[in-house]
Amino acid sequence: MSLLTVDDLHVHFIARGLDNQLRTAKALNGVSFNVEKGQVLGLVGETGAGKSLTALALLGLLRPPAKVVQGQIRFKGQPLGLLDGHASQGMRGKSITLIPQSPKTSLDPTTRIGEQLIRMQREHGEASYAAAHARALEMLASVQIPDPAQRMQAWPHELSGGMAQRVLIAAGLINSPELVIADEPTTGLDLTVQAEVLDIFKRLVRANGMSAIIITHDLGIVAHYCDRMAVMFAGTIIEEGPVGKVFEEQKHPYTQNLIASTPKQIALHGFVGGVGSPPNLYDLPQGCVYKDRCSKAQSTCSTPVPLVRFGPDHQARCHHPDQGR
Amino acid sequence: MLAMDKTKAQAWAHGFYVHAIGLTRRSPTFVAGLCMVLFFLGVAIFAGVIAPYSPTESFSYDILRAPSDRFIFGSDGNGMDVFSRVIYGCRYAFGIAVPAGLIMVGIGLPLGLIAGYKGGLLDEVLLRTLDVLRAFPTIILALAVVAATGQSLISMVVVIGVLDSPIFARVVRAEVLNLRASTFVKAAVAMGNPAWRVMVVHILPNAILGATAQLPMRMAWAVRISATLAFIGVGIQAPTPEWGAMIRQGAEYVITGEWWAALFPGLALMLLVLGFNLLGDGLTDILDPKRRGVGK
Amino acid sequence: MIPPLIELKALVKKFPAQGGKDVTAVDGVSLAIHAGESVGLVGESGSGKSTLGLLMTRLLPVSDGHIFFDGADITHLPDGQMRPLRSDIQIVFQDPWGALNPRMTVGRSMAEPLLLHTTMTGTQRQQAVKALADQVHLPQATLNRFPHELSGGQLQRVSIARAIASKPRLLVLDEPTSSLDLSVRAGILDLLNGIRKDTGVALLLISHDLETVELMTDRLVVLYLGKVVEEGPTQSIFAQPAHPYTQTLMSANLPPDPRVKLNRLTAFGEIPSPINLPTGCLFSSRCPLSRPECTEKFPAYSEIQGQDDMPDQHLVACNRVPDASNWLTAAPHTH
Repeated sequence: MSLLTVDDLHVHFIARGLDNQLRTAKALNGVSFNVEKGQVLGLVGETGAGKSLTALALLGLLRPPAKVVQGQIRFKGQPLGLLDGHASQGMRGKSITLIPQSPKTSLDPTTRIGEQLIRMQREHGEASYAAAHARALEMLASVQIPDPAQRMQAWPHELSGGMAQRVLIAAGLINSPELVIADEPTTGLDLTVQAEVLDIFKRLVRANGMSAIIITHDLGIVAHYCDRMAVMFAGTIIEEGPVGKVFEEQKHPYTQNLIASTPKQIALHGFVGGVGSPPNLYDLPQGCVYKDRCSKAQSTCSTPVPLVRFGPDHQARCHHPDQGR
Repeated sequence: MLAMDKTKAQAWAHGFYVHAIGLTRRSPTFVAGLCMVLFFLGVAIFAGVIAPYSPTESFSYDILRAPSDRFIFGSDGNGMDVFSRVIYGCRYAFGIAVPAGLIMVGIGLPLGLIAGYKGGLLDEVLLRTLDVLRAFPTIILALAVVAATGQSLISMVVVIGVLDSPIFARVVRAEVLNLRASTFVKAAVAMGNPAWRVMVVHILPNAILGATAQLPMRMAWAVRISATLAFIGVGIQAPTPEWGAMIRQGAEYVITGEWWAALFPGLALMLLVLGFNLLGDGLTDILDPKRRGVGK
Repeated sequence: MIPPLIELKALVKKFPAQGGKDVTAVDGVSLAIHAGESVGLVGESGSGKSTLGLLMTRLLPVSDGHIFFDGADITHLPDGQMRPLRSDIQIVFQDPWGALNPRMTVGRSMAEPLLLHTTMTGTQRQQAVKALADQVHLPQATLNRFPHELSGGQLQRVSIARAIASKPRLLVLDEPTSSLDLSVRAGILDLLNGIRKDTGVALLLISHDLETVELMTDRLVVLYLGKVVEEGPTQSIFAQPAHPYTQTLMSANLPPDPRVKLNRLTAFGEIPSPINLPTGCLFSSRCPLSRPECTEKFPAYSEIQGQDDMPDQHLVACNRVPDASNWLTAAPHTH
């Protein structure tokens, strides 16, 4: 049994437009994936693909006007409440935690970081202040914050971006969760700082046998810090598989497009033309969501898209996946 | 042909209806304020048709009559119909507020624009003037100037317009300061725009949006202060049917129980000022979130 | 020797900071760009790379030093004389949404440089704008739209079109693709390459993305806390980054290819605050190879001999270069 199973999740947003008509944005259209114990999954996509929304769903943080139209999330076999998740309430912060982006705004500016780390533990069952304090110190050391005892007294605004992100990692891991979701954990960080932060994250996750989902738009992060990757487009996972295999085989045209757009590939093969605008979630095409941008689109692409398997752990949602590689 | 026009008209009306509903949802305050102001404007324009009597027609046998069929709002101390006078008073309210508003914009807009963009001496002068105005009771200032320049409607309009302009300039200046730091203004300079063009073509159209919401507020102030001045006895001569003057005259009779001569013009004044304020509030509502929606 | 198109000599920019002290964002940077060349400017927070772009385009006043354009000193040129020169030096900003006047149609924005710097009539400008739209692969229909109706990629194309409208000889690009989606970036880079080929414009690409810089530039300048620590042919620097800072920077890059083995070279701690800079070599407080002489004064620039007889200079500001002990570990980041 997988640690986490997301099963055919459909989430719609219903809003009233300026013209007074009700419009539905189909934000997630049948998202399905598994995360096994000890595995790191990279959730890749561009803006509007639905990655952050998936994270919110996993944490039981969806609120109206979001509407779960279909689908289920199971954690260790048990279904999770998705809207106003009372069932998830016990899990969120304990078994499933979030490391958010923009550390400067995610930390409480009115509380010292030591207190915040202690508070996080006590809200999830740790009764002893002394034990929580000791653990907070331990976590700060493990994320390589110099002079942790003194740093416990620091205010969030005194920390640099890299330091703050490390504190967020410490906060996310302090209750020894089974699943950590890191949402764009290195946005706004310098290259050298990013590398350190990701190294620390991976080391801690591995050492404690945790599973992780890293949400990112950076293929480099996926390539070097994830075991498996799921590529999202317009609320659908269009390809999923082990990182090495997906980079190598690139079964879905969108995956090919993404990888071909990296500068190294452009240098080797020249620019692969055709881009188009982001998908309009209010008006998705029939059948394949990628149809309007795909260079290989044919008439069959307007029909519901099959899930094609390439081996036990690699699959793509496409009528004409690349059989060549 | 007529049939086609009818469906076109229907489509237009439907479109208008939908937009009106949309607008009401976004800001009921705006719509309420707009309705009130338009109502008074309509009264001002059609005063001649609506008013049963001339505002200065005096009925010597009907002094201080209570509201009745003949005098809907009663008659005042000179035997004039309060109802007709209140109606014609709308003309004076708008007749003062609108030109004063125009003067305010005419002076305040370029002042705020240049002070905000160039800074320097002009900015200092503006800021100090604002400090003085804030400390000094405007009403006394207005009183002094109007009394000195001769008690005419025109001098009142000019004084109010001029006194209002630094406040409007400050609002404009705030918008300009914000915009000055924005990327597209930097781009405009980088492109080789001379300073005047940056101000007029790039900053002004974007600053105006925020400043516009202030306009009804300033008009509300103009109406109020002109009524106040008239109440004190400055600027308006009897028997001009201006609300402030009417309240002044009517106030004498309230003690003896004849409440109508002061109440109705007072109500009208209050409602119009309220309308302007709601309009301004609503405009701020509409413009702000919409601006956040425009662009990402 | 053909004189450079634009030359910076010991450029300094200070900003007032709290407590009366000044922050030196750019500290004595000298740089030359020749006609048609593409130069990359890389660095992390506090490097001063964006400030340098603004100084070069005279959008910020210079604290000290000189800027020469076509041999003439434009450092303190008054606005009136600077304006006609602006048709020759243009800049594209990082934020596509903020860079355009929200109240002007995109077509009007693109026509503005023509209005300012040419004597074209309205009709001629319209024609020219249509041609520009084609050149940047923008559909003609977008010309009448307002910025908020377009996507990020399209807006960046508009900014580029506007920047090349006056046929500039130098185009400064400040992180032109950082705010854009992955699949959109490639199109913009390709467009810039095409423009360079067609018009021979010189490019200054300011970026924190090493892969982009490697693809798009001939020469590279590496900045650290306002000073140039290494400069030379892009291929040379990527093949053999000589300065210890450049080595750590390159090693932190994550190529989007799982097969590439990472070889992380680290420095101590984080980039210090620009208010409290170390003396001597600015990297000395973090450099694993730091020696006592490194904290005395800023190192002189040594020249590295290139592989395959590179004609251009490869300069490094490191005391260890003369005795070839500047390598952090056996093998720096290779591809």
